[in-house]
Order: sequence, then C-alpha cells, then structure tokens
Amino acid sequence: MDKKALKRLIKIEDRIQQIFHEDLELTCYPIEFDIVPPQKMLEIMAYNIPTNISNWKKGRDYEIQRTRYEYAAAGLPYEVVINANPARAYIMNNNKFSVQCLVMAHVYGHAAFFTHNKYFQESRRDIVASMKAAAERFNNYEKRFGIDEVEKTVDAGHALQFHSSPFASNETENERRKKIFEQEKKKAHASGGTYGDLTGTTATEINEDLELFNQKLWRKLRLTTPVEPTDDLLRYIIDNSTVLEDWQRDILEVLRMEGQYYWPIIKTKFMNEGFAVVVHEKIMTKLFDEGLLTSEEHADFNYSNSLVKGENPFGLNPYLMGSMMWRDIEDRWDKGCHGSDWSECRTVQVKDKWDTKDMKGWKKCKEIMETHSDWFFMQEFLIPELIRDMKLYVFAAKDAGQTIDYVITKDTAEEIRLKILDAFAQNTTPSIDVVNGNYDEKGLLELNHNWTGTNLDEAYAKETMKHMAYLWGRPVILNSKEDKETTKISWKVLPPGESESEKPKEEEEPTVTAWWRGVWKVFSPVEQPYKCPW
Amino acid sequence: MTIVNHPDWDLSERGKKDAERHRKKIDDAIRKNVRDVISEESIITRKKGKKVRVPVKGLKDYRFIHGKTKKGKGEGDGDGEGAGQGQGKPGDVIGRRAKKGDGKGGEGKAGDQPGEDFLETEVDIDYLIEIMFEDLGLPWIEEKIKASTLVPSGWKFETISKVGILPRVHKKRTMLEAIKRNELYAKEVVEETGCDHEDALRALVQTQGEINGAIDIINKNELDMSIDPYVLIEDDDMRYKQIEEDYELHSNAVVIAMMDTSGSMTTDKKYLCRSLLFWLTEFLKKMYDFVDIKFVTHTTDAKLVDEDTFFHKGESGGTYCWTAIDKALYLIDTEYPIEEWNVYCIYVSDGDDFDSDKTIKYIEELLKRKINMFAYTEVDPGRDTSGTTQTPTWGTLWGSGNTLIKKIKEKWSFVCKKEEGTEFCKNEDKHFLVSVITDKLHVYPTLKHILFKEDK
Repeated sequence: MDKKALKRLIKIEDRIQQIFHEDLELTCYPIEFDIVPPQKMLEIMAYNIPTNISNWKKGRDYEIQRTRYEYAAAGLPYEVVINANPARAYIMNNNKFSVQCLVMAHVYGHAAFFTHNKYFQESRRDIVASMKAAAERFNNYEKRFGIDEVEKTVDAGHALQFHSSPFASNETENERRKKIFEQEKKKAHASGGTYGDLTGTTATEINEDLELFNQKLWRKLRLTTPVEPTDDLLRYIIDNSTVLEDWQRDILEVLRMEGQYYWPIIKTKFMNEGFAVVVHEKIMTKLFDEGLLTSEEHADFNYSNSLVKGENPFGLNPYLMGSMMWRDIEDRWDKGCHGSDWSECRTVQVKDKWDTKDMKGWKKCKEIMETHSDWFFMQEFLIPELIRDMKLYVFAAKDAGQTIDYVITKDTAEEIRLKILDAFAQNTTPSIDVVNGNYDEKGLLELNHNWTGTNLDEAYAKETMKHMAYLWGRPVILNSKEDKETTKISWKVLPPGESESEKPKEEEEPTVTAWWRGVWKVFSPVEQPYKCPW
Repeated sequence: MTIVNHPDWDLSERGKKDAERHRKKIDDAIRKNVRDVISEESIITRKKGKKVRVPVKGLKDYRFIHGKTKKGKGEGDGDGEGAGQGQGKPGDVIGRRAKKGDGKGGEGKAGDQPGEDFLETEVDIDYLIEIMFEDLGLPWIEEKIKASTLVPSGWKFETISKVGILPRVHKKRTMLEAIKRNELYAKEVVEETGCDHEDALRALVQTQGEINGAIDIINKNELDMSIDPYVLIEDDDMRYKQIEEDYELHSNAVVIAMMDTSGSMTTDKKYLCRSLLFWLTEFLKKMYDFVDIKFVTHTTDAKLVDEDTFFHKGESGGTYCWTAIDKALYLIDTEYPIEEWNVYCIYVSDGDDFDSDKTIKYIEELLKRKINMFAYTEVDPGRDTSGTTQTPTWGTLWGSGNTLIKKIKEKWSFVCKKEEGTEFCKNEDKHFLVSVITDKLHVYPTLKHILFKEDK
C-alpha cells in the first residue's frame, strides 16, 4: 500500500467513524488497524490471537492456510479482529481500496458488538498482552522441562478449554464448600426455628439438634468433592489434581483463559457476522452516496460483498443468514410488524401492507445486539416468513447405488426451524460435569455427560479422556447414554503408562468421511473460533 | 483511531517453525505406526511410483464432541443430514459423492478405510522405506576378490585435456604449463643475448611471447623497464578438466527370494509371504544398486519367475520344499558362483512339506556352500502366538503334520529370542536365520530380523 492510498484511507476512516457514531448511533472501544502482508495474515489466522502460544496445531493450521493461499489463492480473510481494548484489527495489504474501506466498516460492526453484547462483558480485554506474556513463559518451560512434556500439557489443555465459560466463578472449592454449608445450615435452621415451638421442643434441644446437624453436614460436605457437580473441567483439575506441577497449572490456567475468550465468540457467530455485514453495508452505501469512492470501486465492493454473502448448498453462511435476519428485524420493527396483533393476523393482504411507520427498527437491532446469543436469536427471530425468503432446506444423504446422493428432504418452514434450532442447541460443546473426584474412594475422576438428545463421539471422547487422565494421574470414568431408550454407558480410560489386567477393546472406527466433515463444520456454529473468512 | 502499515511483517518465522514441529510429529506417528503401515494390503498391489496414504493416529484436536445421532427409520444412511440454502424443492439432488471403498476390489477388509479419528497423510513410498529401515542392511557381506560390479556413483573430474570449455579450466595445471613454457623461452633468450633472467621475461611480455622479437628488443636495447615480468598464458597452455562418470567397485550380491505357492498356502499365508518379500525387495532395490534379485516359486517343482508373476500370481498343488532349495543351488552353481557373489537366500513357506527330510538335506547342502545367509520364515496365521504349541490347522491334517521349522530346529542349534509375540532364531556360525510370522504385525520385526547390519 503506497503513501497516497494510506493517506486516503486514513481520511475515509475518519468519515467511517463519523457515520458509525452519528448516523448509526453506535459506540465501541477504540480500534487500532494494522495493515499487514499476506504472510503475517496467514500466521494471525492460524494463531487466532497474533501473540498466541506456539504449538504444533498452530503450525498445522498455518500450513493449511498457506497451502490454500498459495495454490488456490483463497481462504484468506481480508481482516481479523481481536476483541480487546483497544480492539485490534489486522487488514491485508493487498486488498483493493474499496475492500479496505469495506473491511474497516465491517471491523467497526464487530467492535460495536464486542463492546456491547452481554456475553463479551466478562471477556479479558488484554488478551493480546497476556497471551504474549504466556507465550514467553511457555517458551521457558519448554527449555526447562522439555518440549514434549509441555506439549502434552498444552494438548490436554486444548482438549478441555471450551468447558469453561467466562461466567464460571473462580472461587476455590473450600470457599464453595463453606458457602453451601451456610446455605444448607440456613435452610435447616429456618425450618427448625419456625416450627420448633409447634412440636414442643425447647430452644436448647433445638440448638443441640442443630449442632449435631451442622457437624453431620460438614462431615458430609468435607468428604464430597466436588461439592456440587461442576462443568468447569479445567478449573476442577487445576485445583484438585495431585500430579500437576506448578508450571503445568500455569499452562492450564492460560489455556482456560483462552477458551473463555473464544467462548462468547463461538456463541454469537451468526449474530456477530450478520451485524457486521449490516453495518458495513450501511456505511458503504453512505460513502458511495457522498462520492468518496468511485463507481469503479463500487463494482469491486459489490463483487466482494456478493462473495461474502454467497449461498452454501451444504450449510448455512453466517454472513448471509445473519445479515438477512438483522435486515428482517429492522424492517419489521420499522413497520411495526411484531406483537400479538401482527402475528395473529391471518389475512394475507392486511399483513402484506402492514405499516405503522414506527421506525424503531435500528433501535430494536441495537437492543437485541446487546442481549442475545445465537440460539436465542434464532429462537426468537427465525420466523417462517424469513425461512421461505432465505430458501432454506433440510437435506440428507441417500444411498443411490453407485453414489451417495444428498437429497433435499424437507422445505416446510416449521421443520427447518426445528432442525436449525436443534443444531444450534446441540452442536455446541457437550455438557460434561465432574460429579465425583474421589470415585470408588480411589481418587478416580467421574464425569457425567448431560445427555440432551445427541450422544458423544466415542473415539473422540476416549482420546479426550486420555488427556484428562494424564492431567489427573488416575483413571477417568465417563457416564453417558447411547440414546433415549438404552441404559447408561460408561467408559473408563487409564492414564498413560498404566494398564489394567483386561485390555480395553479396539475402538470402532467412525465412518464419517472427510467430505462430510467439511459440511458439518460449516453447519456447526461451534468448532471454529471467530474468524472472518473474507 | 490509528492505522499503521507494516510492510515488514512478512519476516515472521513463527508459523514455519511450528509447522516444522507438526511435520516432525507426523514423522513420529508414521514411525510408530510402521507395523500397521507395512501390513496395508493396498500398498503391495499399488502401481509403481505412486504415493501411499498413511493413516496417522493421534494428530487431531481431540475434545468432547457430539457424535452421529441415531436416525429414525428411512432417513437416509444416517451419515449426513443438515440444513442448506439455495434453490430447490424436496427430492432434488444437491450433491453426490462416490461411495467409500468402491473400485478397491477384493474382500471386505477391515482397516482399509480409516474413519474420522485418523488424519491421513500422503507419503512417498521411498520415504516410507527410508524411515522404516533406518540402520538396516544386508548382513555378513564379504569382499569377493573376483569380479565385482561397477556401480555408478555420480560424476568425477579425473583426466585433463587440452580442449574443453572455459568453466572447466584447470587453473593450477594451466598456470603450471604457462610457467614451464615461459621459463623455456626465457632460457632461450638468456642464452642468445646474455641478459639477465628478469629482463628476458620483460622482453617476452613486451613482444607478447615472441622469442625472436624478444631477442631483437634486447639486442637493440629497446626494453621497456616499466613492465613487470609476469607469466604469459597462451592458448597452448590451457588445460581443461574432463567430466566422467564415476564408478565404485562393489562386491556382487544376489538375493534369491523363494516362496511356496502350493495348495496349502491360503490367501492369508500368501499375503504374509508377499508382504514380507515385497518390502524386502523394495528395500534392496532402493538401498543397493548392485544387488540382483531372483524370484523362485515352487509347488512340487520350482520355477524361476519374474517379479510381477512372483507377486501377483497364485498357484496350487503339492509341496516339495527341496525343489526351491535345489533351484537355489542350481542358480549358485550356474550363474552366481560363490567365489564371486555374495549369495542371500530367503525362503518363505508355511512349512507343510511332503518330504521334509529331503529338504533338510538340501538345506544342509546349501549351507555347505557357505552362502552369506539363509533365512527361513514360516508363515502360519493360525498358530498360537507363543510358537510352541500348535493348533490343528487344516494344513496339519492334510500335510505331514510336521512343519519344517520343527525339523530344522532339531537339526541345527539356534539362539532364540521371543519378541512381539513371535520367535526369532539365529545361528551365527551357519548364517542361518529362522523366524515365524503368525500375524500381519510380525512382518516388520521379521524384516528387521533378516536385515540387520552387524556391529563391527
């Protein structure tokens, strides 16, 4: 990017900021834009956070990105935004000029979302600096304890890092135990105090009883670990494992924090991308209206924008689906198409022409942006009319002799809606609780999968449990269910190096093909931490 | 809000460094899975020069994820369902893919199609051989005085000629020639004129190497004293290096691979034989340019066959193991005399022999010739892994019931070690190796058993 273009960009950025604040009435943390060469961009994409720790997985992702970029010149986003204060945005230096403007406007959209959405309120805004410090520490650990040992711990941490939400409390087990003790005590004392006189027991007797009760309760609580089932797997392991060294605890703490950073990004992918698209479209329209960009650049912009919003026959494009939903919300609240009056109206002609000239659309969007996550968003605003407009369908694989065909099976709005909601509800990280840290009185770790309709992938679960067993130092047990009817299944995994008399059976290989995996990834809102693929 | 341009940020090496680590992990994983890789059926039938796909375990991001949902009745084959976007009505086909395992042919083989918990990586077969057979080689190789093979080993500069191209000028030789000639000329000039040596050289430089002119100049006292007396190089002095193919002398070696193809050899057994010998020949071909490989198959009669027939054709019939040994003896007597060749005989059979006593005699005869190695490997997929007791396979009922290995062990004494569920025996004096393969996974350790470099 030459100096002239940079100057122009800085000028336009000023205007973008103005439109963002005044016309769209949005605010955000300050943004720092870095214009970087493709090489660096590939790296940022692979590492998610540019200062992230070194790990072979990052190297693998980097290689994948680089291969795609070099051989297909595709897959490279034009920007990456880091949710921090100030927000950091990385923009590739060989984007076309209008694309640079688009990207900047888009970044503003994301920044507003990061700043205001309630799921991001607990996020660490110093993620870049803290990861940088962590990376340096990890480097030292590698030198001191060997790269293999550090890698084992990091891999295990990666396996579990999405099981901690940013809202998880950081209190220690003893604090928790005391709190529960107080609560239970209060309950017991309340009932004793209120109805004590009715039973004819004296105050001293009651007090003696309560004393006994307290002792019993405390003894019971003291021996239970965790005090109540916890879904914060890493927290529990860090606090209670007997085999971890201090440096390992440090690594796990950092990875837990990293997981907490990704958590809201994963939970709001469709909303976030959709919102950013709407914001950049609004800003860009304004810029073109004002003549700040040429008509030639308009063509570039249109082309890029259409690529972003491409339809995916085997999945849902968050940019397209998200932006269409936001547009629909704005439109409906502008016209007052909501509430019981509207939804209960059965006359098509009336409904089509419904317009109360409310003009509260954008305000409503901003409200939703602050409070919703993807699942709630879909639940509330994915209405049948919109599903028809978006041309959504459900497809399934069918055996057609020589080939496997993917055939559209359903296109009725209600069924599609259910299917999509189902996917959003279930394709998140499965809910796994630690229920017992001293199973069988032998210190085994017992986990419970809260079965909500989908079973766990056995091969993956067992490998993950191996990681857990490494951190825990003792066998790990997981209870789950096959499906609704069958009784519970239970897997046991031993820590590395240990063996039981009976050898565990060979794992059955799942038969999902690579091809299908790709599709699933697009469809699932979980897997990928936040990235703009354009 | 700020915009900063960082054109210099492409110098970052982090990604590359971590990618290196990832590749190393893949290598390690392949090394760990060598046993599985080596027993992959598809590799042997594969076309030459192709890459093989190797499943690598344990290189994925494992975490708790949802698996496939159990489908209701009539909802496809259960492996793909989702929501998509675009034009279409129910019944429209939006995509198609080939069924798995199509065009593979053959019986249903487990492990042929790795599932999701494998990462597949494409590996060159040469590379596979490289990492699998590190530190392996033909043992007991000897220097044979007579007739060795010339093996090309790159290029060399040895002869020097007067013609050639400028890049290959031999500077030292050229300079030497020039000095020699100059001194000769200078001597001549000194003799003719009686001037001193340096002046003679000066005169030569002044006349660009002409003797008569130089003599004239000195005689006429026209010598330019400002000239440095240096050595003139003329075309005649130029010497050029000649590029030639380089050869190394190697002792001749021949590997005689013998295989039993009789009726008692079931598909399983034949597969194990071929797997073993396939890797052996691939390895030898890669590592030793000078090794001849001869393929012998036998039923009741031994035949010398080419490689393709050896690996891809089946036969049936009775079994006379001695015929194969006889063929090897014949080859040694006619084509590969023991004084000139290192001879390695490798024989694979299931040990069901109609006339094992005769076979023993032939083996004795073979060992008497002082061949470099005789390796006998018995394949028996049905055998108890301990190798001591024998479960009655149908071969036992059909054949003599006495496997060859038993007789061999009675006849010769071996140092045996039990490893990886099977047994490897070695007789150092006679260079006689015996092993048993009862499972696909034994192929690799057996190869290691046969191909080992001695500690010197």
